[in-house]
Amino acid sequence: MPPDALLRLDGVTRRYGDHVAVAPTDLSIQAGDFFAILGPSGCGKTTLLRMIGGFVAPSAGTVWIDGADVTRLGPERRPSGMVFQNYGLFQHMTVRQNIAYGLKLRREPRARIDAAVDEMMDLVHLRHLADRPAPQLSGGQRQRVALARALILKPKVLLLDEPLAALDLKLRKTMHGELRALHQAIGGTFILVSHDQSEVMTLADRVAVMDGGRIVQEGSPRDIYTKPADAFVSTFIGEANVIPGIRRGGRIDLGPDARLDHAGRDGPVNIMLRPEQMELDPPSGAPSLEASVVDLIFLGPFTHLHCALDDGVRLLVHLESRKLATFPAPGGRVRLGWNPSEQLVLDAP
Amino acid sequence: MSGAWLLPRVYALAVLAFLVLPLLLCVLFSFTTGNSAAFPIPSLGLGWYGRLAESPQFRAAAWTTAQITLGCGTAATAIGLATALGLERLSRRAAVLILLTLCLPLMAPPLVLGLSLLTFFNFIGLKLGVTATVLAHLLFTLPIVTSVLYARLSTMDKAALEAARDLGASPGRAFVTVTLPVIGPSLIGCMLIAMALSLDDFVIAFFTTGSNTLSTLIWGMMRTTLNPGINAVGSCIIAISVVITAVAFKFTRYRG
Repeated sequence: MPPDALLRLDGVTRRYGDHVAVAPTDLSIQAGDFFAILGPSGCGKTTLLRMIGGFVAPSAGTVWIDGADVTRLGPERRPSGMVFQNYGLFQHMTVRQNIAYGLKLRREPRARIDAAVDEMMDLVHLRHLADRPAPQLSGGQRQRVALARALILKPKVLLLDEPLAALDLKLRKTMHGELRALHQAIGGTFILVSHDQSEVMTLADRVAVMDGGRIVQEGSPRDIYTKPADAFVSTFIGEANVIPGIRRGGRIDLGPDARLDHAGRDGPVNIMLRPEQMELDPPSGAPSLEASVVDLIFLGPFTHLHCALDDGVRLLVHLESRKLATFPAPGGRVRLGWNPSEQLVLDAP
Repeated sequence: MSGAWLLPRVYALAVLAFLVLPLLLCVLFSFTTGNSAAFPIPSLGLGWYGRLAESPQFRAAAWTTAQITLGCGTAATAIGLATALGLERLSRRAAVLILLTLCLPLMAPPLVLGLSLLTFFNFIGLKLGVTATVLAHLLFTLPIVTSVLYARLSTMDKAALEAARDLGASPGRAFVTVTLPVIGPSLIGCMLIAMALSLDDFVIAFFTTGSNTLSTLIWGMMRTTLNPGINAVGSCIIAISVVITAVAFKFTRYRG
């Protein structure tokens, strides 16, 4: 394995009977990364994370952490720490006892444990709640206890299983900031599992998108947004317009004003365009399609235009409000164009 | 006051009186200084209890009962906990099916159960006595203990257990530091429930015991003499039962 990869998965697989939860997966994660595994529910992302943490045994494959094969080790013998979706706090303990649990198991001297717990509570702003019993904490406080409890053991990898899913939107935003700050402060390696693409874009510096038990694309959030591997990724990361077409002899015919030259094998393709890549009344020569306006939503700086092509394909266009001389009316016809250099042509499956 | 207001209350009082009066009378007569469990009561005193305390039969029966009650309570809790932990790992459907099977003895009349146990113990050559009675009592205490513990375990937060493992605890250590504190009260409650049920049983004890227990002692006494000494034994059983049950209720959410 490359010396710089902190975590590596070699063909890691999990089957439940005939159902393949995680297809053979290879992955390497560098030390210091904030890595996110993104996918819809049931795509296998949590199973993958639990195999890294040692809670699910892989049906096949090897898990390496820091150069050691940990595939056969239980969670207590892996250098990983986990933050569970519902936190899994010890309800019969106080905040301090929860955070100290791991160090007590290691039989560290009392004074060292106390000092480390105090430091950890300062880091996650819980000092004032030290002696509060776990059941009396709010959602955000529980989250912080779970984080502190795992981080105090200085795990080589911190695994976060949808850690913010149970919090309301405002609290989630606050915790995003705190998670980023924590990651920078301690310089550890974080692996986050989430179905929320905006969370992943905010937090992670590398992303793997999963669907149907396999990783369909891996890269920086920006790579994945600008060059999605397929229509699924394009619609899952950010919003995307997917216009189906058929390529014959190096040409894709979408309509009278939208004949695109594009080399490739004959067959069905999808043209992917981000809502901000489409414009109203494009300059002549640019490809364009006629559509009827379904709805118009004014959001201050931006105006969202929901349109439908005559064959029923829905299009979403984000327009800058200040560039609009007149606002198209719902029910009216508009011409929507784009710059062909920005379009992404994906072979349809 | 209209009859519509009065009637339900009178009815409720009558039912209550019907249920509780016999018990109260039993206790009351045990304190009599007379020679029969009947009115009029000459005066109140602890005479019959004094005689009981000196009676070798009572002491022997109390000792036997204590062994059976404690043995049954401990064994039912230990085996029930192991069973519930195992059931917890199965699917809910399989667990419920096994629990139902375990509960079958509860549906058989105690007389039939006692008779078949007697036959069975004879067949396998087990000598009647404390061990036989404890085993027999396990038959109807184990399903209850197992059900209560399984219910408690299945509402437990699994993530807490996984978190303990993640933080370095072996499976055994995680059980002691996380599972036990959570189910501890239920465990104590279950033990007391099993003890109360064992203490209250007469029929099955009658078939399987080698020497008198408190309940078979009463039965024996009633066949020879009818005196307030029986009431004193009965009052003892009532007192222990009530205390055990009250403590058990405090520890579990079990309500019958």
